[in-house]
Amino acid sequence: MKNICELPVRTLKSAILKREISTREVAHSFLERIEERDSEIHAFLTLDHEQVLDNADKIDNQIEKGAVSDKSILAGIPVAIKDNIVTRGTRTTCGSKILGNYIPPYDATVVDFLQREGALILGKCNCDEFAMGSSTENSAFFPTRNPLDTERVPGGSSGGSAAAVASGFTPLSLGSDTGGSIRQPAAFCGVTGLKPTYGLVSRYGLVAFGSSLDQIGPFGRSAEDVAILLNAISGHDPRDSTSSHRPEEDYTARLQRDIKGTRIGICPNWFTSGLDPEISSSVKHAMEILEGQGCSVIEIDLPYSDYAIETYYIIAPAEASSNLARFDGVKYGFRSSDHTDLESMYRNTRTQGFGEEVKRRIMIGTYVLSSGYYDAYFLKAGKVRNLIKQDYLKAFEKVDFIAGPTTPTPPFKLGEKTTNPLEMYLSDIYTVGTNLAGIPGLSTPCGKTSTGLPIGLQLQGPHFSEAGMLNLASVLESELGN
Amino acid sequence: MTTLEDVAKIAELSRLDIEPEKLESVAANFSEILEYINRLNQVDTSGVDPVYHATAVFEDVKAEDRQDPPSMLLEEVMDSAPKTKENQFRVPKVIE
Repeated sequence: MKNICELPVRTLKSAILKREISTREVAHSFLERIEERDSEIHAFLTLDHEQVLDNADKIDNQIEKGAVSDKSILAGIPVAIKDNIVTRGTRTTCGSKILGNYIPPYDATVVDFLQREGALILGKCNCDEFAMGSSTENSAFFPTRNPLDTERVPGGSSGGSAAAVASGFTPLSLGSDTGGSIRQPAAFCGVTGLKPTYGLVSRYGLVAFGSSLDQIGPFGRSAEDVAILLNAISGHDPRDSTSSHRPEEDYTARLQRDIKGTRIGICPNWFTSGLDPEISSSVKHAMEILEGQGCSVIEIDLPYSDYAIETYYIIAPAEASSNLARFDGVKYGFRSSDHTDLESMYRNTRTQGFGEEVKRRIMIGTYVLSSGYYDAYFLKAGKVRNLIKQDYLKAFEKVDFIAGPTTPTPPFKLGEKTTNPLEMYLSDIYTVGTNLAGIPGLSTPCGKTSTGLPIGLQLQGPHFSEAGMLNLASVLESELGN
Repeated sequence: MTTLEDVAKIAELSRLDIEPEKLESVAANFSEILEYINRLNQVDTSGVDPVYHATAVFEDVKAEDRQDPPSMLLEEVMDSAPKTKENQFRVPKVIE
């Protein structure tokens, strides 16, 4: 069988279950491709070839016995995992020196779910340290490169996960999205990425960055592949108190359905200054296609979305400064050998273990939570967050989904924004509002620039509207010939 | 405008050290970010309640959720700690 690495998940799964190909052969094909090109891309932080092949044999065995069958959502399908999602017995670094040798004693719920569904876990993907960044250049190990132009970044923070799918190293991967960390790299690498509704996917075992914003989500080459992975990872988890109790849904059931009559909102503010003109015209072209399919495009106003970045860069660092207090050299990870007492052990461990961006955000978070500044920053941001959320809720009374660009620019060059953190933060200008409101957001490829760089279109929808959003993306894919 | 003393104080609260020669650039960077987020003061938030969570309604923890999760293996937990003794975490001496 040719082009195993290019097959849609549904086709690959069917070939595996019909024994036309073994899971071991599938694993071998992807490992071969990784071997060929990952020394250039650096999508993976940890990958044990022997272990992958052993696990593939185990899955083949289970298929033989009927323990993995057609009912298993991901029978024999490889999935790569962002390195801030814990995997028992496999190193989980969060892209940080402070967890450089950390071997977790438990699996994240999503990892349990993947195994339950017969998936073959490939390895751990590079990311910005503790998911803080928009280019994967903040990894303490090495930057990941964009497979479509290796001089450019793959986006971040889930850059390794996006680049792995775009390189054909794996059909599927998991990322996490706190302010755009799935959608922005999906746009930069020309793949599909979904940030689910807050609570749809368990966060148990996702190393916490901004707990009220974090969400695990899927990457794939198509809306259908993403829907299949979402089917596997969604569902209630008693180990996450914010996990939703909604009944499970089949996200593939409504794909390629008629979208006639769907009301799509666009926010004219997003198409003014600051947006790359080629991205603007590509997104507008996609809107015309949707109109041609019978959708109505309606202008909406999200007045407070102009303040989303400011709000986000108060709330996310505040939550991060609390969450990252656990890295103190006592229970896990790195401990500095250079200390005289407990206090200096804490300080030296954290100073030597964390990178610049992580330290910056811990300090901003500490500042905005400190007495005297709490009301001016954290309380204020909580109020503006409410206004941003109300903006969306009001908009969804008039429209079914909101469409727009995922990113203001195409993928930038390595080193281009590393000296100016504020400029890097603005890469997330269209994506952070989604996390603040807890709604789902998806990036789907909608064209290329004149130099061949990918462009992403972002869809946002009401809470738990993933099925409709994936349908819209699947129709757009067909119409664009992706 | 944040002073060098402010930044040094915040670093101390964060249990981070800043090398003296870097203090000025860290403070400049810090000020730039704070100046940016200060734009929030343009928003009239009188009468608006803050939200700290993304979910609209907190769902009650249900009875079936009150089960103990499977326990981790003690030796695997202790293996990931930098320093242990008799299955306890070891830290530098805190009591003279």
